[in-house]
Amino acid sequence: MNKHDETKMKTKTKIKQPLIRVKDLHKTYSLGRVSLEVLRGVSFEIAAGEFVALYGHSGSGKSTLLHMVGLLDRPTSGIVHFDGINVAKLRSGRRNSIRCNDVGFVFQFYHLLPELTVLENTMLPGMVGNSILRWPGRKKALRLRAMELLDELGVSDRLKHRPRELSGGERQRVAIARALIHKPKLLLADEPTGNLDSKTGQKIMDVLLRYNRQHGQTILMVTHDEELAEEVSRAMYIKDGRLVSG
Amino acid sequence: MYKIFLCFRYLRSKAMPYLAVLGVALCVWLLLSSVSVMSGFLNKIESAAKGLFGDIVIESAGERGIAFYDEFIREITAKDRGIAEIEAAEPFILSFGMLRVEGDRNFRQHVQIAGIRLPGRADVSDFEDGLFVQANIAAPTFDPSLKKVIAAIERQQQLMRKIVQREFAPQLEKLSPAKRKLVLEHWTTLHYLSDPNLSPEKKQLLRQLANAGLLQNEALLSLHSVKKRQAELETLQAELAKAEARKTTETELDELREAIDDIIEATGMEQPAYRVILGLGIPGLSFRTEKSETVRYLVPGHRIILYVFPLGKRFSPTDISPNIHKFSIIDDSCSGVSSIDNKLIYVPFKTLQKMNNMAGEYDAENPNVLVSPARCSQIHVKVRGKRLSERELRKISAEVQRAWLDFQQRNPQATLTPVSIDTWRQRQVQVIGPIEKQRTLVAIILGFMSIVAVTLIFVILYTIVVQKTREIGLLKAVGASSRGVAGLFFLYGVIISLVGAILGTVGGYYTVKNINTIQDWADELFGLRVFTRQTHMFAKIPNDVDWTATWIIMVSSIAVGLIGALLPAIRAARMQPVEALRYE
Ligand SMILES: Nc1ncnc2c1ncn2[C@@H]1O[C@H](COP(=O)(O)OP(=O)(O)O)[C@@H](O)[C@H]1O
Ligand SMILES: [Mg+2]
Repeated sequence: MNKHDETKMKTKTKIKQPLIRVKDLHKTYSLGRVSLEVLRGVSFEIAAGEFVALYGHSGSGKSTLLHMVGLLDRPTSGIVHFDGINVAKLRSGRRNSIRCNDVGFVFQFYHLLPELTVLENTMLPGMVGNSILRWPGRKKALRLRAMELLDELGVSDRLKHRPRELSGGERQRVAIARALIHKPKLLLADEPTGNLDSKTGQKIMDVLLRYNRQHGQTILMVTHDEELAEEVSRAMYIKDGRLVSG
Repeated sequence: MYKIFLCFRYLRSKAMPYLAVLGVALCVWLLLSSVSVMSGFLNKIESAAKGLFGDIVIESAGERGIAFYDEFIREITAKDRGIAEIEAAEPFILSFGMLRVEGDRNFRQHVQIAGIRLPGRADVSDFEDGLFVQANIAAPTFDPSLKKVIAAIERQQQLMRKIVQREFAPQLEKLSPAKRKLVLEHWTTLHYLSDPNLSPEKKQLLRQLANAGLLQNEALLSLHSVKKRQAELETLQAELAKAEARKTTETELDELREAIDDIIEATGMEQPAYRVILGLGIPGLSFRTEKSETVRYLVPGHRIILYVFPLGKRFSPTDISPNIHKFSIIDDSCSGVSSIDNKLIYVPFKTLQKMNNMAGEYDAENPNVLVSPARCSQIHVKVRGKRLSERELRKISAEVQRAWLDFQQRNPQATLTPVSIDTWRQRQVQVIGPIEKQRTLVAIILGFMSIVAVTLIFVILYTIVVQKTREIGLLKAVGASSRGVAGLFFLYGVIISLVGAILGTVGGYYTVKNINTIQDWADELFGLRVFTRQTHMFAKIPNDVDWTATWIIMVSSIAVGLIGALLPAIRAARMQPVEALRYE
């Protein structure tokens, strides 16, 4: 099945297919007897190089959708194609590896590990993705990449600091560096500015925009801020578990 | 890769893991040291029991003994027809008597007298291991070379000089060099060290050392005179043997015998038949320093008088007249079990047989007719192979039993009373039983303590897993597998228990190795003396580490860590990243 998928992917990439294709996605949470249908048939596509904003009110299912796209959760029904692969049918090992190498996450609350330094936090996906045998061979390149990213993001003077010694904006920059360490095909950002003041938030936004423009980084960003949604190439509005055009 | 890295980071960043390590270490330490010491006691009893009596003991009820013992021994040790598992067997006589020291009117001490054959005894037991003059000599005798005897006494005096130098260093310091030299060379000048400031204990030690030194010198003197007249004695003995063979007149024989007796009287050294090996620890014949060194008052060369109460035959309680004879001390034996060393002395088998009225009796008119056969009180059997289990020994013991019943059918006179055949463990059951029970009890109690260790590791890991919910979610978000996350916490638990186990083992090892020093400290600091020689039979607390137990404890404590880590690890693995990451 896997091989089949891959060959399919190869033939299809020739006709320049979208990076993400979501079709009729449903997600239902059952809370005891009550079931909550958070996503009710969502379909959309994201092409490589796009910066798409997903905005909607709190509780409208934005994060849920993002998690489906980022392989953190499995949908109740519907299809998610990631770079031509139907990820719903993948074994968890493959999903882990896609999450590690092809997707980068940025969260509202940064989620940096307090025991690790800024540099180590940035390199964490590298440590997760490599076995102890391969690690020594990869370490140097990863370190370089991490330093480069941190430099670009303006936190290179804090390499040995612990996350708690950083400001919110700095923490988010480190989180972005971590998300970009493997040059992911897709960067997922869940209200990356939600926990920051508007000035700092704008700076983070600028960073994301810059990566989109300079490096062609595909980004799907969740926000409940309509203004932010206007800065990007395309905005999707989600309401009551459905995408509403506009 | 991240598993190991994060695991160490987690370990370093919290005080709790240290606590858990400490807990595990404590459990391992206590378990190891107590089980080791108890196993040590058991091993000592085993080696002492076997060391003296062999693996299996055949004993007749009462004092009438076993006859035709040599025939029976020959049957069970015969190459093809005997019992294959048996290596050797030896007769043994145990009797009671009183010991006096020549030249000391006041000293009398009741003793148990063992009649043994040398060097045969060394084949069935480890008797030779604890000897003073003939230490570790494969074939000890009642007639070792004089050189060896003298060397042993000189060794003893060397030790005494060391004690003097150690215990009276300040007093020695004060003496002039000439006097210092004198003190260390002549026991008669030891009183130079006397000083009014000496503690009563030191004063006593000084007196004891001087006393021992003087007594030893007497023995040395006697030994040197023996050496001088040895050649003369040997020619007389050779002549006597020749004369006896020639069947010359009684007067000529008597003359020779008298000449020999004269030499014995002059030198003070009895012939080999009347020599004794003392147990090292008979009260009044030696003393022990604080550092557990034994200093002998009586050494080879001294003579004792032995009163043997003959229980062997024709015994009437109203008329026990002892058989008395002088014996020369030739060696002493230390089994390490004080209850044995403080009352057993060893004399030649034949001699005791006679003195205990167990020798064979022949018809007065026809010396070829056996009226009553020679007897012994026990037969000690040595089994091939080391450390046989009780079950194996019992099987052999049953075979011996069968052989004996068969033998007795053919020789009805062999015993007049029932015979019991027991393994060494059966004979020591009163001593071993309680210790074995104690050891099990301690292991159980401490086993319960390891439940505490499990709980500790469990609680700590669980707290950490709960605390790290979001981080676990993040790890999964960046690609960590459930198995990987579980592995991380598993590793964490394993490292805690492994480090704890290693620390505990090292601690336990050093505790056990230095248990006697620790005991001494405790004694000095708090007057705490858990172990006394009298109650525990041994001179020292055993300080051998039980390696089997160590392995079992190590492995089980790591298992304990795994069990404690299991649930938290599973919880961490099951955690859904989405839920973990959702809220701050
Ligand atoms: N694991 C869950 N179980 C039950 N309900 C959930 C669960 N996760 C999210 N929800 C509900 O789904 C809805 C959408 O949540 P979410 O996607 O986080 O919204 P948004 O990110 O747009 O604020 C909310 O009402 C939330 O309470
Ligand atoms: Mg949300």
